Amino acid sequence: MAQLNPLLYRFGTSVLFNLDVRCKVASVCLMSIAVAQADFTALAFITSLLFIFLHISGLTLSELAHDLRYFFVFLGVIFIVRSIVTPGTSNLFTFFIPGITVSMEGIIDGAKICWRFMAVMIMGTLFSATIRPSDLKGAVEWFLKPLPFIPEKRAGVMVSLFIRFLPLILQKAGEVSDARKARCVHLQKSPFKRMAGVGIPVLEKIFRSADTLAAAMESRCYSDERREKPFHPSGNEPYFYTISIVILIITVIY
Amino acid sequence: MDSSKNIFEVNLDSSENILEVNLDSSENILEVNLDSSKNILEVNLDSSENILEVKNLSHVYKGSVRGIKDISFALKPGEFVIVAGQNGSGKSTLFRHLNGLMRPQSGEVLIHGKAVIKDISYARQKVGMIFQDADCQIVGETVYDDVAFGPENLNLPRHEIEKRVEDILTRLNMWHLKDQTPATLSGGEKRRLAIAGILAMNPEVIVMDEPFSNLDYPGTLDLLSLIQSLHESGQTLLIATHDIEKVIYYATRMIIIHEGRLAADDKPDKLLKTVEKFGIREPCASKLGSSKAILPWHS
Ligand SMILES: Nc1ncnc2c1ncn2[C@@H]1O[C@H](COP(=O)(O)OP(=O)(O)O)[C@@H](O)[C@H]1O
Ligand SMILES: [Mg+2]
Repeated sequence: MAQLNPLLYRFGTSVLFNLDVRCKVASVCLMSIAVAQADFTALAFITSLLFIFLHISGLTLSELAHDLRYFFVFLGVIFIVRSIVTPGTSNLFTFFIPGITVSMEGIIDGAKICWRFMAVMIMGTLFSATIRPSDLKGAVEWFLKPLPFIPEKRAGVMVSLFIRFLPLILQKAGEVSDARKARCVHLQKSPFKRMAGVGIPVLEKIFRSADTLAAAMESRCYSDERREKPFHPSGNEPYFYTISIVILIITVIY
Repeated sequence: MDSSKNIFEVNLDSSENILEVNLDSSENILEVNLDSSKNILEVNLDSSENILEVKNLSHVYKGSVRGIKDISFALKPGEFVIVAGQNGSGKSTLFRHLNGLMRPQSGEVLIHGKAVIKDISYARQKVGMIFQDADCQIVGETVYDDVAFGPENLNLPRHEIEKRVEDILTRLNMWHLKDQTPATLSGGEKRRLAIAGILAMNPEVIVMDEPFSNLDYPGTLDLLSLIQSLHESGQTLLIATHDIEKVIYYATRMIIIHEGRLAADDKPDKLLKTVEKFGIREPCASKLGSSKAILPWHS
């Protein structure tokens, strides 16, 4: 595998890698709420902050763009739908079908939503590239422990398994897509056929690999009651808590 | 003398001055080796019980006629057994019963006399399993984490986990890779890592399903030397393969599975000439009629 998936954890030593997992989870939660409220100024600020972290964690923009390329299609669709359905006073142009108009407000609204999604995705990438699924399991358990009626161990296992499977899914999708390209799939014009052609073999491969992964984990006595790594605060946690809370307060007050 | 339960074997090979006496009565083994060239008299009296016993094991897949049927054999400590058979003969199905990933439809698998399905955690710790697909069995995010995964599951104290991981990575010459992402390792290193992860649990038997598949030449050599050193250190090994040539030189015994049934179980050199009728390729050296029928794959 020449190029590693950015979603895959890799060992590193920058600030984000050493941060206590609990702090990372808390910051991501606070920042996500902030992003959901943010307007353009706040988004610009948060995004530049994220870019700085991307840089110091050794993730490059081109890598990110390459791996999120399908996500951009999704964003494009959202943008178009948003610009059409948002009612506005300044109609830019109207399609031949009456009622479908694109407004200035719609475009601004669509852009804002797409930007928010983008910020969340970058945050997610940063998060999963710098966190070990096994540590995350510990953090989820730690947060859920005080809550009654929630089996925190189970929840922890579920979250960490999901994160473990994500890179596997992307890797399999890449393999299938390459195999199809090698057999001239670009000649197939119907986008629906092209999608189905990738989706079905990918699902099948994922289920097979998931089966082996599960068997391998079972063979090594995986259970809820395993000895987890202790948390290791790096000393930078207070800064992160402060920054996240300040950003959240500012965006909410706006 | 061979009356199914008692095997008495005397080999006196005057060309090399070796006297060998083996007395095997299923549970008691008497072994006398007299090698006058080196003036060594060795007597091994081993009355240890079987580590692993498979008794009349059957499992036929639902809606199919394939699977495994009525398989029985037992493993003694230190044995190195090849389970040979063509693709689809049932090797993986058999292996999945050895640590309780699958349950027998009839028959049973015993580990130190204890049924696998009665105590699955015990079975999984005693029988370490290496799967065919190296990528899908690595669960750690770094080499170090992956080796620690098993001991963490066993709930060992943290210092014991750290000690084991360090010992094993050093023993397998992988300590310098400890912080690497497993995806960046070579095929041979991945296989080595999978074995390290199993060794960290101190298993009594290591079971490998087609360990040579997808390995390049250096990877194969690397794995072979590791398997050889495991065998020399007394580790009991069970290796499934459709291509016996690479390991047969080191193996002490070979079991042939054909269409789900145990077709043969003997010393490798005794079975060499019969393997092709079970769809297994006879090693080159043996085919070409070399005086020493079994040669190491790499010399
Ligand atoms: N989950 C399954 N369902 C039905 N048949 C299966 C399943 N897994 C394996 N088989 C069949 O059982 C037989 C033995 O398979 P397997 O144990 O994987 O063989 P081997 O490992 O020797 O190649 C094959 O014919 C295979 O097609
Ligand atoms: Mg198999």
